[in-house]
Amino acid sequence: MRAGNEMLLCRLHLHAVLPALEALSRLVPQARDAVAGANFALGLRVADGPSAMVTAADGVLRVEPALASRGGAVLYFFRPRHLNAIFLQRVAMPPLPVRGWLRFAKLRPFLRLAKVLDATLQPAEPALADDEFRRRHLLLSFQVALRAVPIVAREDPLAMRALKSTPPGLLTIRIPNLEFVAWVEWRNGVLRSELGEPPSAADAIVTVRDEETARLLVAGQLDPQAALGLGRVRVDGLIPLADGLDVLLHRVESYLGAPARARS
Amino acid sequence: MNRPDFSKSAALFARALQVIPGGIYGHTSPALALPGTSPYYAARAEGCRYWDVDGNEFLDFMCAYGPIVLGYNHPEVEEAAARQARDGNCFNHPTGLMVQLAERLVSLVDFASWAVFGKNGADMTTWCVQVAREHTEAKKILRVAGAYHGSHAWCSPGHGGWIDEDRAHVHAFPWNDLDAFRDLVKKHRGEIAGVITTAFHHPAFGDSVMAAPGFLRGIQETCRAEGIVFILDDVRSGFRLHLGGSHRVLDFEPDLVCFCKALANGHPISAALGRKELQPAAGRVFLTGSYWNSAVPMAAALSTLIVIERDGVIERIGKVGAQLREGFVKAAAKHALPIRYTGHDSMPFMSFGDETNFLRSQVFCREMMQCGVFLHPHHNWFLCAAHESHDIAQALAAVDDAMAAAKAAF
Repeated sequence: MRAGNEMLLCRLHLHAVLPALEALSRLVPQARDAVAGANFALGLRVADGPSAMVTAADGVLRVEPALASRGGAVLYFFRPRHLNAIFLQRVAMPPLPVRGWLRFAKLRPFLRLAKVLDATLQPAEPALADDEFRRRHLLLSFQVALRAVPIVAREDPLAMRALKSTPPGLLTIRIPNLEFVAWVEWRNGVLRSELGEPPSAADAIVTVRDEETARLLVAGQLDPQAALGLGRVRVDGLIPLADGLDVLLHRVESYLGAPARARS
Repeated sequence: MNRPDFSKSAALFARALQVIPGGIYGHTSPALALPGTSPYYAARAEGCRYWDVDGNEFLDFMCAYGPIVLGYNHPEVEEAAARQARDGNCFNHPTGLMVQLAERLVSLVDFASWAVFGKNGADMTTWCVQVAREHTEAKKILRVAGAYHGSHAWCSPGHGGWIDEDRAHVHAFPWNDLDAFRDLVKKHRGEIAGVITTAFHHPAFGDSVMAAPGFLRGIQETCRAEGIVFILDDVRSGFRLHLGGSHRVLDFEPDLVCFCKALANGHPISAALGRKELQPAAGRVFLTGSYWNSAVPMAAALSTLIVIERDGVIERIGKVGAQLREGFVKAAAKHALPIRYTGHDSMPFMSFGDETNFLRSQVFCREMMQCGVFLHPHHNWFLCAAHESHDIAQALAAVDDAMAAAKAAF
């Protein structure tokens, strides 16, 4: 990854990876347990960069893309690279606590959640043998990717270049046996993505045939073009729109995928 | 209806994935043409029909994406090619056929006084861009947005493998927007080497659009006035609209023209022809390739040109193309489906009038393929001299059910 893209990676960590805690706290028993008794508000703030706020109360965890103006503890990162190092579990100095000193003791559940999130998104190969774990891994991975594509669409030069020749439209992604449905809309120079059924009829429908195909795609072990030819993925409708999204997903992978993590 | 069996295609594709990136790449990638409904690998072809590796027969309206203008395996062309193959194909030198073919092409194209040869369309479009730059000592190239000129870095429609610098001096304007073209010329006055257009706009994933009155002539006049080289990319439409180049039926005159697809009825050869005043620049732009002087394709090209002229092929293709158009329009009307049937009758494209996402087109083409009629939902079709009225009748017999399916699907 180029050094100039540390800011983009930082935004991906805060606004695509961190929000996966919400789903994690619903899907994963250990995470649900951690949130059950938790009551904390933690802000993460990067100098001249993005921030995020994680709150847990009444058994519900929320992640917001900006700091609350008051309350909670806040950790300050000196630069994007600093935050990225912490997310990638590299050797780095700890962030500076700048607000809510007395509340840091309440953050233990967050640390547990972060570990579970990392283990779910970047699992050891044997863990994937468990059906339930694999489903959670895939669902969270797709959710991270879904949140990440608008970020790369705004900030990654190669993604922006690809979108210049991508026709506008609404695309739906379905993985029937994962019960995963999401949509991505590219219109008027803005790319949006959401979980759930699309707000109107889709121009392109991408259907991933089964969970194993989804796993191979997430792991980068199945070429999307090959998957189409093999009938493991089907695209109906506006193929150039799906093609543009494929470039965006590849760009997300280039920041958040295992090879990128190994390089960082 | 029995669905075609594609198990041998699928097995080959699975093997291919082990040794070929994506299995099949480029314009024949299954991803672009209804995977699971169309075959992946061909076995043989004759006339306007081909058979895939599973033995399924298709009445073909893609003609190998354009090269087949006389019909597959045309006896005269194949005999000429075989005769030359017996003498040899690839030598230390060109053969006399190269001179003959250049003379023949120069005699056909009214403005041209010289010709050169390559293998693919992009060989020629890219080389013509270089000639324009050499001739004018300018660097900018104007092109039409969305037009296809090949897979080289300056023009590839793909997202990968090129850098911004490859296109730093390539600027696009919309088809049929003469004002936008003139604005670009004004903005970059003195810096523009060439403008490249097709004879009519035939983008993939889009309707074909004929030139508005005065559009191509307007480009020509501006180019003459500004000293810009006007390049006609006639790779796809060459020898389907006019034997002497498509500009002959569209009332304009370029400075350079590129031919490929139909030139040798499927044998690998492309050509560029140009005005006399561009000959010195052409001589200074290095042009070669390992097989670019091969004799067999040149023999095939000479034979193809004879047959096209002798048999009135262009008129014949136009006539059967009109029959196809009339039949499709009538079938669509019967089902109250609005369609857009665009482009030249010899290489038309059909889309449904109420959609831009091709969903209905995909259903329609899928149904046609199930009936053994090969049509592409996203790329213009091609007719050839082997299409007879009974072939059109066969296609029209299938179209009623396909229109019904397209109607019922949404």
